[in-house]
Amino acid sequence: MRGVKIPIWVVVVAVVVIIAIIVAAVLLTRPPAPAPAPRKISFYTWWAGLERFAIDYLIGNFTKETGIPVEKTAVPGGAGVNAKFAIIALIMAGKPPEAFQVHCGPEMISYFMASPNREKDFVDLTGIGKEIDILATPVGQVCLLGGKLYTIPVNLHRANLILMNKDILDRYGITPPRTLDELKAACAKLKDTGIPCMVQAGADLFTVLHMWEQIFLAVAGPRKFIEFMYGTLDPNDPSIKQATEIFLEFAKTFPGDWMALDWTTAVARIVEGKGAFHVDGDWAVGLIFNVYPGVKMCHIDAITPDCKIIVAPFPGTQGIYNMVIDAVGVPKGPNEDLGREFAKYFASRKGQSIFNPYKGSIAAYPDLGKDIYFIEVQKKMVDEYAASTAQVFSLTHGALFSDVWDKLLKKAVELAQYKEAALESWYETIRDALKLERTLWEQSGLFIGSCEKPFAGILPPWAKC
Amino acid sequence: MPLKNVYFIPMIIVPLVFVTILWYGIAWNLYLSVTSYSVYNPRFEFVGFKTYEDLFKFRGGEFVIAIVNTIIWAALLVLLGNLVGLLIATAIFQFESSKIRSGLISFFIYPLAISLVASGVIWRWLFDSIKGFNVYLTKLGLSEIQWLSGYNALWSLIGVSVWIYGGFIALLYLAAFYNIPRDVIDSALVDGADALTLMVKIVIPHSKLGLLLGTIFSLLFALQMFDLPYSVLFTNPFTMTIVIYMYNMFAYMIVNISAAACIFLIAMSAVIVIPYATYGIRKWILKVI
Repeated sequence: MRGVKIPIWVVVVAVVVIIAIIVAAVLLTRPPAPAPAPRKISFYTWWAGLERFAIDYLIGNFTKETGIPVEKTAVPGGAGVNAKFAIIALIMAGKPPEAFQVHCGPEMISYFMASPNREKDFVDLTGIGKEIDILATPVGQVCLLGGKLYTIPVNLHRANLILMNKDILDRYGITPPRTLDELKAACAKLKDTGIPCMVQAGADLFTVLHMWEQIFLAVAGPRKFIEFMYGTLDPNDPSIKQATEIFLEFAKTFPGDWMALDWTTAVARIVEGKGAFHVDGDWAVGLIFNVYPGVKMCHIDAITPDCKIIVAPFPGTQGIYNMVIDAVGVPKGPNEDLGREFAKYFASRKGQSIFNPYKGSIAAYPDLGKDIYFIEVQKKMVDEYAASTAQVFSLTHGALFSDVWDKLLKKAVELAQYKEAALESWYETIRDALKLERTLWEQSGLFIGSCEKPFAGILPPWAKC
Repeated sequence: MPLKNVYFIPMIIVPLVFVTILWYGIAWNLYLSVTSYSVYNPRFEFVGFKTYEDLFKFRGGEFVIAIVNTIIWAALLVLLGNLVGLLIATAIFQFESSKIRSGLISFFIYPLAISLVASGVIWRWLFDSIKGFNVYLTKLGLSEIQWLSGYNALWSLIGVSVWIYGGFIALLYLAAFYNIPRDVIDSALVDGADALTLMVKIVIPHSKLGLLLGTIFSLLFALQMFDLPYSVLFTNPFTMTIVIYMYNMFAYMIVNISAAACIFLIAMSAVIVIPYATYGIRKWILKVI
């Protein structure tokens, strides 16, 4: 073989490049030496829309009082579907964010499952919870997983609401419905008017399952609803069939282009009088307050003549508070003390009274008073929360494991599209969903509440107490 | 020594590193896809091809629907994309002024310059019956079309993707048209060929590179389809593509199934695109077959 003369600079460049790559690889794979901790909090959140005013206001106050700056990292994707893996990767790299947004309920269990050391990778906030009294509230109780608080609640949303266009109701002589039968009768009256009775949105999927959930809550009651969450409900329970039949009846009154609507356009249809009813959570009230300042909302018990949109508990679910709870989680790491401090401030009476009026939700403390809120409907919700006889956990918004949730979300849209033709596959999906829910809960060994005080008095069979 | 010129050694190292990272990712996916790693069994137990078996059965065969949707999408995008691209290119080619030509091509290629998500949002509004096309349809006395209802959504979004990529494919055809030797066109014109004959008999048959590239790109775009259906209809079952399915499974922590879907997609792209590209290049460009 003839020798090839390699110029020396080629060799030098090649060697330098190879060394650089090896060094980079070593640096990347070895956890870096702990750097001096910067006194700064990085908070992972999906609040980036209208909610950002509320979170910015809270952060501003926190920084003013503690001198600790907070940097928001907005990762879009509700329920943290996209942020979760970033956070877990940072935990593995030894550089977790100081705090992150999460829903109370099983959502946190999926973080445990993906983390190398399970629960041990997250700070147990039970002590703080006791200190700031949040554990004495029903909301605080519901955020406990097997007796420990990993997600500290900062607010309380209500999922079981219905919005009604008052002009349409007046025009057709419809009394605002309080029972499912009255709602059905209202839809029957509107049948030949060309006005869609129920306006739910198909494009972002969730309001469809959301409507089924509220109907199910109305016909099954809170106990079976909670059993659904744990997957312990008998899949042949008649309430499932009954709820589904009513759901189909309402689905037939959707506007023809419901698949082109998302939840904000569905709300717009009600505001503009192009639909009579919309089932949604209190975030829809926040949306109307922020986007349609001239539109007056009123509660069904306090209807005024100038009221445009009536807000009421979903017919048949009065007295039940279907909860959606935003919370803060704190991963273990070099700066976890900062995370604790932020979580404590955010969840405290003070933090919640700064945050909630702007967020459209209410504070988790029932004793906080109503004067902090701007919207009459919000004040009414405070009363209804305090007077509620049962609380449940919204299936569409955090009470189900995400794979199960996704399956139901899609099937509910198919059911609304194909009606009776999709019934069999819907029931099969429910059977499947219940089974998977139970499997996942059993696998985690966790349950909501504590051994002494399980959520709603229901202690699932896998709870080790 | 087979190496012709040692000066190129450093030049190959850097791209080599990046391609190695890609292959590392593929290998990691392959590994995940033969384990049981998912929220239902969060352990790296070796299960072999069972995951692939599960992939087709999981959630009542949702993956099969995703494959069918993706194949329909790819077939129609190749067909309509090439057709629209060819028509636009032919029309632009008729203009003598290069200024008009480049103005027109920028006009048609513009949809590609907007992010797919922005296009998605715009089109969702256009499919709305209060703001969109249906307003005009009803004004004309026609009945409304439910653009996004059920499988209509798939057809509508395929249409949108043709709108997005049609201009780009036209650009590929136009590039091929310009490569036709001027004297061939001139002699045809001297022989008295009209514009139509010229296009059909001379220009288009000489533009197989346009067809080849247009087809390869449409196939790749369709196989990777995610942003558009996701921004219009989230993870709607009627517009579920392989990539959306993959994303869904990953986001909901069915990691092994997601990895298997990913490997399936890579294999599918390789099986469709590589042989087609090689065949096309050999047959039409090198003319060795």
